[in-house]
Amino acid sequence: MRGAFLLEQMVSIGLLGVLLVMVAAVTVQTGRSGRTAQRGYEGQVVAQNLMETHRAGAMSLLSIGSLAPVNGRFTDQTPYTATTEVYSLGGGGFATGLTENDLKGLRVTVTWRDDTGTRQARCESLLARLPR
Amino acid sequence: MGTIRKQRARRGALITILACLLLLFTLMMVSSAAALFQQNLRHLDDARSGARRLAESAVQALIARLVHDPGLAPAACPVVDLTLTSYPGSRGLAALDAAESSRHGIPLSVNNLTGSGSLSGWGGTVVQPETANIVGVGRYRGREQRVEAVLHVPRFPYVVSSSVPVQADRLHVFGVRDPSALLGGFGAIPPEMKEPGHIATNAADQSGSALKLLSTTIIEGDAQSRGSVQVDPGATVTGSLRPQAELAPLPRIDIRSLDTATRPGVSTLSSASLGATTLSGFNRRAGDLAINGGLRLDGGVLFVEGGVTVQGGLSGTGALIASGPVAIEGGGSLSGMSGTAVVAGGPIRLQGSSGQQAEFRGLLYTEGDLDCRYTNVAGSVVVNNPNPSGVVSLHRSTLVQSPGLGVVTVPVATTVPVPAGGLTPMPPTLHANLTTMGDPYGFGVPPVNQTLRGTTDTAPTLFTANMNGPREDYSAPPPGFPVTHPPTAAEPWYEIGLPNPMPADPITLGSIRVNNPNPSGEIDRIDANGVGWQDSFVGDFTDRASARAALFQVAADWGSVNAAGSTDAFLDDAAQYMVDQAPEIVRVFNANSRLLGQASTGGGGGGSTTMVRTVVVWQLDLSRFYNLSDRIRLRSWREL
Repeated sequence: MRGAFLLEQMVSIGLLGVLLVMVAAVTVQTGRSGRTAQRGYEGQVVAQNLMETHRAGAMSLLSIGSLAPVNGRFTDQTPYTATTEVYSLGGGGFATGLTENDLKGLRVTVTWRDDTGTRQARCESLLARLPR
Repeated sequence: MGTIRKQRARRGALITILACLLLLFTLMMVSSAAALFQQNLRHLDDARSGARRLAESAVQALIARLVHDPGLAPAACPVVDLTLTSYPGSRGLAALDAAESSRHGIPLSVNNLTGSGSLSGWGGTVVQPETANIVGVGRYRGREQRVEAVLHVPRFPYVVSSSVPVQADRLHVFGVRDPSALLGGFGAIPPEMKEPGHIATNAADQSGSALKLLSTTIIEGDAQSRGSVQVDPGATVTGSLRPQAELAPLPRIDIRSLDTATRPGVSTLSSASLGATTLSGFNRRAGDLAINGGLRLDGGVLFVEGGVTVQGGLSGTGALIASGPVAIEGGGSLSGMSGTAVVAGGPIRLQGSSGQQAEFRGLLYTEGDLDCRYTNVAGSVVVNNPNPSGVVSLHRSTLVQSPGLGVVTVPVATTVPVPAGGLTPMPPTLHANLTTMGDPYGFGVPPVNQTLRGTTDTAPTLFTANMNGPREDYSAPPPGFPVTHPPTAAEPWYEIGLPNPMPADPITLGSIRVNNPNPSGEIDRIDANGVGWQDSFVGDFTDRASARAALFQVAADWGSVNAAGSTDAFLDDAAQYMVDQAPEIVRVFNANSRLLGQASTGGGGGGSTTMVRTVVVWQLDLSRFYNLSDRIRLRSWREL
């Protein structure tokens, strides 16, 4: 009788142990997902802010090609690099008759690394020579 | 007893373990649900953000098309349909064509930039003349976002525009729709009559910001600079702060071309110093001029080969043009609706006093510095100083702009003797259609009876367009014609030759005006044939594209079902008309120019003469230094 009770206790403790490990794994995974989501959100904010900064200035000051990259850190100190690519629309399709002086494309990509590899947040928009 | 206790203890342990299990399971579920919820929110946010970028891009693309071609018709661009690689499977749409708008289930965008009447937009909105209402729709991952932009075409976009840095101290800048609102004084303008007034400089930062708004300066509009903008804590900008902005287009006036030397009946001022002075007609002074007691221009244009100093203010309707500096101290008035143009090759200084603000209505243009103190200016100010170290200083002044103040028109009456017979008339104009002439180009619109303003009389009225030759102004060569004889002291007149080769767009040799643009308006007069005419018109257009956009729009407003084909047919004939009539235009211009030039020097070969009273319309219109595209501005931008 004593032996059976001991066995039950040991099985219970073992089961609890397995469950604790599972909980720990889920907690770690959730925490990691949260941090990934947080970085993703911050990456998107950085991309949007950079896009708005470019849009607020003169379109004519943006030359076709890649602009100087911007380096920074998220709130958890993960480093990121934001690159801006200014591209021409080619003057066809909806941009028929237009040149790069009339309309440009702007693509901002924020890149960082985490446990799962390289991650990116992107923001893209067209920009007309829009006098105010 | 002992066995029962042990069995209870075992059951208790099992229940505890099961409770722990349940708790842990719940925790895991909550944790997973939270992670999933967070991920879902991210996806939704990404979708909304992507859809918004797509909508914005569609609007930007259509704006670019409109700035490139302000007369853009639905047939030329029925719909903008685009995608962006950062948002796979996305779509951005904006439709000018009603069928495309309905096919895609998106609001209709309306281009009325070159129109003269209001049009209906999406959702019952009214699209005013000289505006465009653009709605872009973005779709991404099941989300849809809409963005609306309104463009407009101000006559002159800025109250102050400068090529050099601007320093404003206790300056107040705003706009008014109706200039008559200023008649009660600058401080008594009700807020509902105010409009935005913008200030802009193309200067880069030098010693500090290119645009400094100091002390309690108030800009009721945008503050725009190619460099940076400094706004003191007490200063206010109610519009946008726009550092690193696009260059503002600046008018460049050829001051020499405004010399009155070759104008008919020009009076020469021999004295370098005058008391209170009123001038009419064309006047000229070789050398500096000082006026003590105020200068009133009563339909007068004064050109000074040198500098001008006026004590006692400048008032009336006319133009003061100087190759050197201009200084005006005190006085002035804002009576009347017309203004005065001050054009200076050197700096301009306007000086009032703390006790009495000087007042000025009209246009200020300088190729030097501008120093404006204790002055109220109703009009537009352009500083086109090629010296980058120049400066604009605005101190305790108020600058107000209005669409009606972007132009100074001065009817200058002069009487000149010419040989009997007078001036030779220019060739008759070519009409697109006339009530009395028929409809040769097939617009298919009958005249309508419109009421004479203020009466019950009616007369048949119909829109039309006229292909006119160059303006009959013999003091300057008409654009596009080469000068074969420039004015000299002995022979102060221009002669011109035939363009060779003819320009690709011969319409540039003359201008096209579209008359009676309002199909449901009132008429202002009835001619001898009993036909009604509106005073308002659209034009004058000096190129085919602008004329086409305007005539097409007016014809469409009048209900023409063949507006495009008829407009093109008329413009083909108009171009041919200019080619055919160019030799006659050259012959008549040279004959009249020579006649007037000889009359001004007392020549003309003797014989009987006749006095011809001519009214020359002297006009300075800042908008003519811009093409329509340069004047298009964004009025509003919002997410729907």
